[in-house]
Amino acid sequence: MTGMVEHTQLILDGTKIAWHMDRVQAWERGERVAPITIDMALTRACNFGCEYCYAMLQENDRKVINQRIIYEFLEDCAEIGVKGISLVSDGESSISPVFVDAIRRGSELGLSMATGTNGFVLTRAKLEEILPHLTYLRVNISAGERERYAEIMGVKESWFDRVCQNIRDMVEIKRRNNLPVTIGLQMVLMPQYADQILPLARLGKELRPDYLVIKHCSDNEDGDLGVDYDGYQKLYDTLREAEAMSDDDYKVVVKWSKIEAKNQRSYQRCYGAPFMIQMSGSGLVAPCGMLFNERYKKFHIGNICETRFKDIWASDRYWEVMNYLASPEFNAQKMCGSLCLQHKVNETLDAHRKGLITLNEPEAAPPQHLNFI
Amino acid sequence: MLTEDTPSHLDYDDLVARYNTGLVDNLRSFGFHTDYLDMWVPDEDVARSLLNLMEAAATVGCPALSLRLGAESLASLDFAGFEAAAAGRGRVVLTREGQGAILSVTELRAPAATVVAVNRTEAKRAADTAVAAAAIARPLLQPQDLAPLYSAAIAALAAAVPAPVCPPANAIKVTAQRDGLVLDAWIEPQTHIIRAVAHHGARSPAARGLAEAMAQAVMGLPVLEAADHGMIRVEFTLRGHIAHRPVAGIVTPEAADPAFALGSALLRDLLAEYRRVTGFAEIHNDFDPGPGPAWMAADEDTRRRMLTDALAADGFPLALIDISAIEYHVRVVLSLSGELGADAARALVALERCIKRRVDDRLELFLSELKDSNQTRRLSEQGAEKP
Repeated sequence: MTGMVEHTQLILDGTKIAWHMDRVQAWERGERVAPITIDMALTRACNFGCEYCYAMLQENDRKVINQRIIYEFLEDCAEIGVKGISLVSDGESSISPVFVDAIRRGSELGLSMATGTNGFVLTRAKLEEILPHLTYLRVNISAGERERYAEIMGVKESWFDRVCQNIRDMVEIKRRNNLPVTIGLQMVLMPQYADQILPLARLGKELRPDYLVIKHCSDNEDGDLGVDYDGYQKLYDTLREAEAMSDDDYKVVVKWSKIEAKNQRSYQRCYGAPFMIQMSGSGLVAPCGMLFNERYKKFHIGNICETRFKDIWASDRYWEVMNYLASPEFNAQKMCGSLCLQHKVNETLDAHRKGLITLNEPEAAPPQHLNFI
Repeated sequence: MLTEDTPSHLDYDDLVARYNTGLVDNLRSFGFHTDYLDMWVPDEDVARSLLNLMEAAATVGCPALSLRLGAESLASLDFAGFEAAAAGRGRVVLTREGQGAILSVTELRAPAATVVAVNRTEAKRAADTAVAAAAIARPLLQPQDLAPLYSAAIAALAAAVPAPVCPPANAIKVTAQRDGLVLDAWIEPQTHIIRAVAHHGARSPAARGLAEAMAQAVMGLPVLEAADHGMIRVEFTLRGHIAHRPVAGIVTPEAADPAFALGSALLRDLLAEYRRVTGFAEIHNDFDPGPGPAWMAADEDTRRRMLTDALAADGFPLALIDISAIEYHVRVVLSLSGELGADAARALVALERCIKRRVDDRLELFLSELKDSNQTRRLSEQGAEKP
């Protein structure tokens, strides 16, 4: 597989926490552990208007992450031991003026950098700059046909053509330069988008990214986005048909574990947050993206636009919030939205804490994207 | 939407200002809604910013651009360097005009592909968080042998006379034993709830205190909940306050004091024995105690009064606290003003501790939701066409 020789396995439906046992053991000893992965955005804004956008529910005080702030943040991350930073979260980071700088600087500091993007403004020159510094680039694309793309993602039909061209460009640049970056497509599947599963799988086969992942849509604890979790079951055959389009260099992967889980959680404590925190494009540091809205202010820890991240991480407030999530005061089954980013890590650590599984460093070779747990 | 901009000369500084304002003011459908400007992302470096704009324009087939640069942008532009970098992308001409200049770009074309050498930086950081010495197992003899946060509570429990055990007739007795300590539980088979608990065989006052704490904590819980979270509850109850933490990081019972490991093992043994005896196989634990009967029996006005009485008793300024709603019986939604609103994150934590302690342990506090003011979404919700 071109450019994917350093690791052997791509885990898209699971967690890699077991490959970070040193940090798990430190956590169990009650030590302060730095997050392995931070998921963040460089802005809250987005040039798209997707129907399913969870960020609509995450409104909080806007602040601007400029070059000085992001550079200091990245330096702090490297200093305290953060390993990977994904630019996804609650905004379209590629429209931030510091997008390219952030990726390059993070990579130079030894951090694994990644991004999830709609891909629209990723011109060829920008791709040439950022791809050598990325572990993965994932394009959010929830339809395989122009008209439906425009409907679902809230943009003009012509933007579909531009995004497809940008994907072709990134695949071509990766191959030409034999870059180790993984290029993926992601479909956020609502049951009413069933008609786009196969067209998108076919489009992926034509554009030749490394993978297409099809995932559920998250909702908040009140179900404000109206996701019909029972509706996914009717799509299983179609999803399997899409998976069957995989070949040696293009994988169609369905996040079955989350789709089949519907919105059920096996755990009540949130142990994953210290290993994997999320930050809003406003600079807000919170344990989880589902807690970005001002409504959840009691979980808000600080803002990198006001305080250095290393100071936020070392603050009593940070550990007070993290401990709240791990205490009997908190119940993720009752107080959280559905299937959060930390879900698989939570599931694994909870089972480990309950003695249901024994977490050991796997003997298998480390998977790809190890620092994005 | 940053509004259409089609003058003969685009005002570069105005475009940048509108872009940056839009990043803060717009949530979704951000952009100028002009083909080449929609693909443009400015940069703090004026030369890179202009190159980005040239590429965006060339990408959508625009042949030329004319830009007015203000004095500040012009001063920070290294024109010679920019001209050299722009050479493959179009012809650029700069004409002075007052304090600023007009930048004309013609013969725009997309940049040619270039081969970029792969030069990924090796990770340079030192090893992860320093590894502390492993906890050393030790005999548990006196309450003082536990971490100081717990010793007073354990001493009191060790000295207390246990309440008499009255197991219900239909309950199934199961027993777990470790290190001489025997834990008996009587569990109702219909509900799997622990209805009575007894312990004996503790070899020290500290072990007796810990056993009594366990017995009190798991009484009335489903046996699955007792095994899953029993010791977390014991540790939390003995500590007495979430703000008092025995370790710097995350508090787990075993991190707080290795002595708690005995309790965790006993409670899991109890569940295993119950499974063996009854065939109970459930592994999904969604136990939620819910609010207590006093709160559930109260009407809305009474609940609000209970909350305000509790807050007043702890000296919180009621004039700065508005109870907006009580949702799903347990979520109390507040609006805060004055000094409480100024540091709402900390205020909420303090207020929540107060009402949990004084009113009901299951209550949660939130602020009113901040709604997005995005035009696209509002129009969509109203059934109108998207722009």
